[in-house]
Amino acid sequence: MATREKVKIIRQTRIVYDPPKELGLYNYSPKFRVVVTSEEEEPGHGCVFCGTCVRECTHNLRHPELPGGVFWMEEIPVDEKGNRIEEPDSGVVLVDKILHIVEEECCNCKRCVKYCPQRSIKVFKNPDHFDIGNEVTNSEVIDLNLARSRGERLIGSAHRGTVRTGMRDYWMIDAAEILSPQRDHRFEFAGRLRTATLGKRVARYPVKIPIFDCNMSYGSNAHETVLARLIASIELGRPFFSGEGYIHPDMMPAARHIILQFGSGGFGPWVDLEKFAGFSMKYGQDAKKGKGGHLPGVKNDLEIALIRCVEALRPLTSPNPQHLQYSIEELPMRVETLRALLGDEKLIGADAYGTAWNFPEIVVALARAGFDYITIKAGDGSTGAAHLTDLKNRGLNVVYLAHIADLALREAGLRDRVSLIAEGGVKDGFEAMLVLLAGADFVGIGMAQFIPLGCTLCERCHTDQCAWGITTRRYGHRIDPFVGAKRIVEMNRAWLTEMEGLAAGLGMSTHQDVVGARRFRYHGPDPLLYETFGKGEISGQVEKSPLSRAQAFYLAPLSEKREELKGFIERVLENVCGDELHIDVDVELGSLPLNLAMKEAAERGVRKFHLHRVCGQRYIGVGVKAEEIHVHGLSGNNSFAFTRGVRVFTYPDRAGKTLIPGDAQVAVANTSNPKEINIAGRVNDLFASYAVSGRFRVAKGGGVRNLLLFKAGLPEVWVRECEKDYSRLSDEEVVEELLRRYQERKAFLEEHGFDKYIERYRKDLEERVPPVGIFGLGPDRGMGDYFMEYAQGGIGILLNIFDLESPVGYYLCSGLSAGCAYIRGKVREEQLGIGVKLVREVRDSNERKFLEKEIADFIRVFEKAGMDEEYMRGFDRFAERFAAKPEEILDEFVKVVPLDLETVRVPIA
Amino acid sequence: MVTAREISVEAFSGGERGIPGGACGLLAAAGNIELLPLISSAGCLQYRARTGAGVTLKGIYRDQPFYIFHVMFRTEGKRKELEAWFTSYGIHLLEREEMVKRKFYYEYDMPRMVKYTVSPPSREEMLEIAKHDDPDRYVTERVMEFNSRFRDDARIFSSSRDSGTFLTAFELADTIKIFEIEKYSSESIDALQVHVRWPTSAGRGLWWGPQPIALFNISGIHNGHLSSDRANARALEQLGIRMQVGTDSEAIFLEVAHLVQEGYSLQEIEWIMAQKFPEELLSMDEEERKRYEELTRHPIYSQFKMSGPSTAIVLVDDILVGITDRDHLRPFAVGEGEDFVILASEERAVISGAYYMGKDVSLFTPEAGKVVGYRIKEGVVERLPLSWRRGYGHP
Repeated sequence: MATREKVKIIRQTRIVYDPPKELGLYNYSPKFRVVVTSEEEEPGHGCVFCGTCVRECTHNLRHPELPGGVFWMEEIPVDEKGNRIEEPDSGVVLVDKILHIVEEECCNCKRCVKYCPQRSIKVFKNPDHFDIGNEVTNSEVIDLNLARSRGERLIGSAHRGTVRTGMRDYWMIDAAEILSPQRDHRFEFAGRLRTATLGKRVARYPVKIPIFDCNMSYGSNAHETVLARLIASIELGRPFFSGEGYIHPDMMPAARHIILQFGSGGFGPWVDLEKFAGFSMKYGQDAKKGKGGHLPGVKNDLEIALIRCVEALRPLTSPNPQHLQYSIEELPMRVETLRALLGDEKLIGADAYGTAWNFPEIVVALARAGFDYITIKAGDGSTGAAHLTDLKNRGLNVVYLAHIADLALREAGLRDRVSLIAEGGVKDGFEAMLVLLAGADFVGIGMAQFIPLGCTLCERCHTDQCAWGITTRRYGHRIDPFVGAKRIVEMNRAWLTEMEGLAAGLGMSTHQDVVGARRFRYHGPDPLLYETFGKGEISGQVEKSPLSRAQAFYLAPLSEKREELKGFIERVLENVCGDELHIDVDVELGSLPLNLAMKEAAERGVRKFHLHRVCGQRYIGVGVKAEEIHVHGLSGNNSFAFTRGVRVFTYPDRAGKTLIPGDAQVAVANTSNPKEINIAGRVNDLFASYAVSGRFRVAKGGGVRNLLLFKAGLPEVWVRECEKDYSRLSDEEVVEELLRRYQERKAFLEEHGFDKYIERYRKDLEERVPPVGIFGLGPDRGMGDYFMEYAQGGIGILLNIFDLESPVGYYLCSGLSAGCAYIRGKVREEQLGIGVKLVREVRDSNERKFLEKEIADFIRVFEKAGMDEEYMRGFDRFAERFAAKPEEILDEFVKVVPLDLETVRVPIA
Repeated sequence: MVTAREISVEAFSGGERGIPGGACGLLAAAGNIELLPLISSAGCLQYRARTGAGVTLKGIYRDQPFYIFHVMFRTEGKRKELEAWFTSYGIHLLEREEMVKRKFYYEYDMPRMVKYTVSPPSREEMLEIAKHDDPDRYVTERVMEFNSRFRDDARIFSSSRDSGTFLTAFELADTIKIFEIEKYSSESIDALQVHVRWPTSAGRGLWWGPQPIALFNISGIHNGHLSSDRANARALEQLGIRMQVGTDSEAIFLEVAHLVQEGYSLQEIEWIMAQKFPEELLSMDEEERKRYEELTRHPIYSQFKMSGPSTAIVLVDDILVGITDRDHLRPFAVGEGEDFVILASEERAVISGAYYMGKDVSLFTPEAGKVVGYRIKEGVVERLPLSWRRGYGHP
């Protein structure tokens, strides 16, 4: 039988506004009215029922059950009289076409308006959105409380400032007239802002535009958005700031233009860091004041998990504080560690929130700690998700804070050591100019970079439904990164031209003339702007207290210090024997000389280090390419941080009459990828925090927050990337390489769709070997509080070899979203942290096999580590029992897992 | 007379801008100890500090009947007037001695440092002026009054009959050099406290910041920056205890001293200063929990709680107390030797201190929010059990 094609003939069309879900008090008045004009109402602009709007709209927060977003199309097969009929398989079918409009979904992103070929869609504010209350009670307050009582979470994104910043009004643009003439930036060399340098010490990044693109992370942005911004930054001649989501391996060819940000979640593999332009520590952001971040499990897709080195589809937390720095005095420790890792040539920056009080002191402390630049985050900062309270209450004016920071640094004699970037709510060239005039070297813009990609500030970044594809990964293909990059470049260049015009008008010729010149005049009501620009001329110099000798020493570059220590280093290296080197640290050798000597030795081929009489030297082994490090004595703060592939062993040692335990101080082995780190003693707080892969064995116990933010292993893709060298590519070739890689991605995406695309990473994810931390615990006390807090993978094991009554502290595994802890002994329910549960026995044979192997390895490693007698007695007892009856020991384990998970991924050889 | 460059009120006390909080390195030791080795080991903490360092030496003024004041005068012009103020309260300044050699005033911008030997007024005079006749209390009250009244011009930074405190706004090595601390190395010292400081918050005064903060027989060193500083100060205010320096650190010292002097046990001091997580109460025995709740719901003592990072080491008479905050946002390490103890903000300082003294030491790190206490009597140091409390009747 021949089949005939089905032909649909439209009998009638209709536009229907879907009624509210609920009537009465909880009837949600849509924020926007969406009106679609029919041909009868407005001839030539009438809807032709093409379905473009249905395709383009992605917003369906309130009605996820419907097939579309704001729009959905219904087709009803009918007979000639209009009666509904059963749809036939073939032949001519008459249909009624109904365009449904669900107004409460609309966020005014204008995607439909811009795409409607008939211009028949109009979106405007609904005057009834805040429908109850009056001017006095503030109807918004009532509306939000109704939302709370409906059980809605008041999470929003982008801006929510309720009043305008005032940055644009009441300005008098000053100009040079007669006294010193204004200049012409179009035909002469004048007002040029195209030559500047980020960083004022050894690390300097030449910059061709003083406008930066600041720290919006991969994940909060779609792949294509990041790519467009990255390419734009390369073309504009400025560094690209990654944000705390690390970067995609496909973007590694551009690494030398990228400054990686280390947020409080420490997401990423943290390998191969020397390829990047620098490293930025995120201490806060204006848009989420005093808060951390939270990524829901659904957004942590396979690709994100691969990049961030966490378990996929599990929620992620960036804690509120940066746990490695609880205080200003810990900043220089962080910098010295990063400096040891990256050397003088890489930028090390700090991104700090413009606080209300103590801001000058914070800026000065950051500069004193040795950061190369400080990013001030203030004003109307945008974000991908934050509570309404944070969004509505914007930070201090960024212009004012740039001014305060500039003055504070000058007074401390530090302005020539540190660059200032100021960002937050700057939306055009004029505002950018104000920030520079107020005293910042550079201005950062975030959200405004999105405008050329379509952003209309619809405040839906957090919903994963961005119709423009800017912040939603699955719609990212709606952006062509190369067209997007061009538009971003154009917009930024236009800002630059505007700024150069203003500078030339002031008679200025270069970037240096503009920074801190404060020449415009503010005559409006904002007290902070008045403070900066309203008070008239500010004198040219501040009372300056020059740097003390000691401070100057802290800030001196490594190369200078290395030169000073040349003789010492040579003496140490005389002991090189083959690929081994013994160094007598003699209790008091400085951390820096030790590190420099080890680095020099590694350069000359030493692979195995034996350090004797070590007593708390900091950052041992950081930046040293070694295979083995044997530490006899106490490892100081931040030792073995960022190490990769190394095997570390510590042992107790004796110096004179003093026994030095083989312990480790705070934050040892943080952010590392070692083969194994074995501590024949106790560790203090934050041991192996942020660690990505490797085995971490500790004979005794630890302080608080051990294995904090433990990750899920290093994927092969990063290992492969490490082997590639892009240093010889020109900038054009880098962009070409990015293009080539994107074409491959796009081809696959178009053929198979987003879900299939990210499935490609599953194998890589599953092949990762999660990190394992295993602690024997001592005779006197167990593991401290917050063990494995916020862990995102990995496995922690407490052997409790002395059968302690209470092997672990409180808030155990709090916020752990993946991975698990195995604990031998008694754990009480009230010791558990938030979001985890206790499983009373370990039955799974894989898990038991894994535990058995780990315990055997633990015993093998420490049986000859030379620890104290009391410990060894207990250790031997445990080892004997384990050898005789391993099953009995395994039966004594309990495990802690996330509330909603049973199975655990354990590495089996 | 000395022709030092006068330092400004802003640099001295901060004037209206006050003094900043600080972050720091700490070291304290007691028992059979040696000064210079311990100073060297404290030097390894200097990387945690920039501006301000001080040392308290317990026992250098023992066996004599007078109070020894260390006073810094911002301006020479005020000295006579301030001396006269004491005399007006019947306090006799028996001897005056320059603490610092003239050459250092050329090398450093610093206030004039003067040491006074002081005797209290007669019993009758005290009764007339202060309605009591306890000389220790009388002198302490005057010191507090002096320090709050003449804050912009002078600071009494040591006022004990037993120990001496030495402070500068420079680094530890400078402090040692300026006061020629090594001259005390031959004396037998019962205990010492060393502090190196980094001012971290708003405020300008550099000379009121350095620690140990000492008042009569209380001296303390602290590393941290409490978020509960306002509550702590308010509680002391309600007890009528005036702060002279006004920082979160001083509040902790005064609170611990108050609790020790009022006869609270170390365990109770721990409960008050570093309150437990509520979950911990479930495994306390009934009687303990009752007492715990009584103390931590006390209208004043409930505000003593340290919220935020803090490690503090306080010397109250012959009792040395060390404590960390419950969240353990600051490290703390203790080393016990055969006849001495070292408490410090890092393991490294403890071990190297013992090494420089040529002794062995057993290291431990107190758990988060736990108190350690020691008594020093005639050079012998003894670890106190948590149940220890100062007995009534013998101070």
